[in-house]
Amino acid sequence: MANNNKTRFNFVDVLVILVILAIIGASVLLILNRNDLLNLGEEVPVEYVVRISKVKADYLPLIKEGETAKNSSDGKEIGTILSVKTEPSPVYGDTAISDGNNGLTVSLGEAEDSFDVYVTIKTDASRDQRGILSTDGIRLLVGSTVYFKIPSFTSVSFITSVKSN
Amino acid sequence: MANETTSQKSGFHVLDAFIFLLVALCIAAIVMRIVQTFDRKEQFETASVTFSVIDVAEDTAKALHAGSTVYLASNNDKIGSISIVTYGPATLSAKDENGNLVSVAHPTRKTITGTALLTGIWTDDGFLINGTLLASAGATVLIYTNEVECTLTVEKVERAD
Repeated sequence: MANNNKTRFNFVDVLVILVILAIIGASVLLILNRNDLLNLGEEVPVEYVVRISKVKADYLPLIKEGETAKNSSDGKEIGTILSVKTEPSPVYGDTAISDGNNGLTVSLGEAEDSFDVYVTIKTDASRDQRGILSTDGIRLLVGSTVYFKIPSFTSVSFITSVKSN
Repeated sequence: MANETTSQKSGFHVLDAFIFLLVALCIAAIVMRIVQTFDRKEQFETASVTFSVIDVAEDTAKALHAGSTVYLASNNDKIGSISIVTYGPATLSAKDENGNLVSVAHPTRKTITGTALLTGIWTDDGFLINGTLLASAGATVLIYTNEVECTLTVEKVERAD
């Protein structure tokens, strides 16, 4: 009697186990397929440039070569800073002027106290079967957003160029 | 005692029946979903979507090319390709000599315009890109190609020949 109770294994139990196994199998297949398409590519060294706009002059010394850059949204490393280039942020006028071509535009000047910073970052990225590079879930594409973080400085940046071998 | 044994052998109670029904429903739902997905993909048609990418840096404008494959950023599905693309100055508002606001060319920022052939399904509401995103005028879609990531603003959708 006691044995019967222990070994009781009916049709519903089998069905439940089968369904659980099927769900696990389907999930594994889905993950494998997705990884196959997106991530399981070759690792390649990449240099990409991010632009951080309107950085105050006081913060410029914080962004320096050799610093490890991280993704501020998850804290993971996104590469090492190879070089930093700064230029005054553009300032636009609010009065229409001729663009010299029968059209109208506004004047373009340079800000005195804020800068656009172009940071070249080196990392090993994975290249998927489509040829798209990514690191830490960030697609390394022109225009992609990078939540840039180094010690004492965090900002949103955008990729302006990507170079790989 | 004899009764007890019989009851244990048959072992099929209301709870079992409930679990059985639940599992059966789950399986049916999964099967229906799979069938629907495959059916939808088979029903996919191509639409010609006129789009703009408003106020972007010149790097972005230069990186979007005709012929590029387009992927949906939200799920990485391939949804079509860019067929025509051009770019020019973005616009902004400025005051003219009379103090009236006029639209002028932005000195540095660009606006991309183009046409993409995208796959999806036509419904009574319009064209659903990839069967999920309604491509109505003004709708925005975050996409990427092999070179660039950007947000398309849908201008017009037509059936592709």
